[in-house]
Amino acid sequence: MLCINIDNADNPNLVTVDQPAIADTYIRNGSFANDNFGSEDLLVIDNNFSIDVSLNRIAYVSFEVPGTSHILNA
Amino acid sequence: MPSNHLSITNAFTAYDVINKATLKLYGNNNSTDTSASIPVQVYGILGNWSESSLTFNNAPLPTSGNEATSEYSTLPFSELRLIRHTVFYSFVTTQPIWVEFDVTPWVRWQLPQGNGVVSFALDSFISGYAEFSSKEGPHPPQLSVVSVAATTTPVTAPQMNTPTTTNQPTANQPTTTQPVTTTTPSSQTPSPNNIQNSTAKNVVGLVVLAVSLIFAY
Repeated sequence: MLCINIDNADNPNLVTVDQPAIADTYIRNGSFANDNFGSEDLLVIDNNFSIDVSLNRIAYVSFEVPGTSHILNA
Repeated sequence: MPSNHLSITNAFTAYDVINKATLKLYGNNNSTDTSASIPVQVYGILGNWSESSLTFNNAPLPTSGNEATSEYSTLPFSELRLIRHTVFYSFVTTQPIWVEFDVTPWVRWQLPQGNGVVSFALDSFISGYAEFSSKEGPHPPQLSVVSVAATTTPVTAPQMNTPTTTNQPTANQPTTTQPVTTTTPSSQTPSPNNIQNSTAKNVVGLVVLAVSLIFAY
């Protein structure tokens, strides 16, 4: 799902592109430190070190921004 | 024929300037403490990772004192830097919302280095539990990029491209200086029979004219 809008109000050349993530997952500490959660439909962030280090979760997300080849080659 | 316009194939996929980049996540605070706001930190990530193999033990991790400066370029590869501090005061239990993070400086800096890929990590620096939809969920994370499209002036000589794209016979093109070799038969061109018929009629006409002139004498 790639949404493209053209904002003509201020600048006819201003373009907004909403790009969905190409990769996302979260990681979990403690007894889950070797587990992968990439196929889940949730991203979880949690920070409860004081209770249990296994509750600590960090989310990761990655995007591919289209149309940057000319920047890359500049 | 090569043209300067050929390098721009799509007006919407060529950017001169990134005006703004916004990371959007759909989710809610699921903490047991329902009154708690969740302070979320967003990190920029250098380097590649795979969603099917990333674990706590192999992931780039946030560390203390790693706030990003205005100059990212000194970062070692595969490091992770805090780029945004956000507290969601309205981020409450049971009501998922779109939450947005302005990540413009990171995207501007990262795009030329990362093959067009930008990565982020999010954690909470105070106790708090939040759930967001992943890309496998109903509301995938989005990166919204506002940019000024590259100078996308339309092709200035459309008549040059029209014949090749519409696949029409070009034999009648008046601007062609080179004699056109119409060796390929075309259904659009007059058939030889019609041409012969017309010349035959002309010959008959001339004969009639000549005979009538003779009779006039």
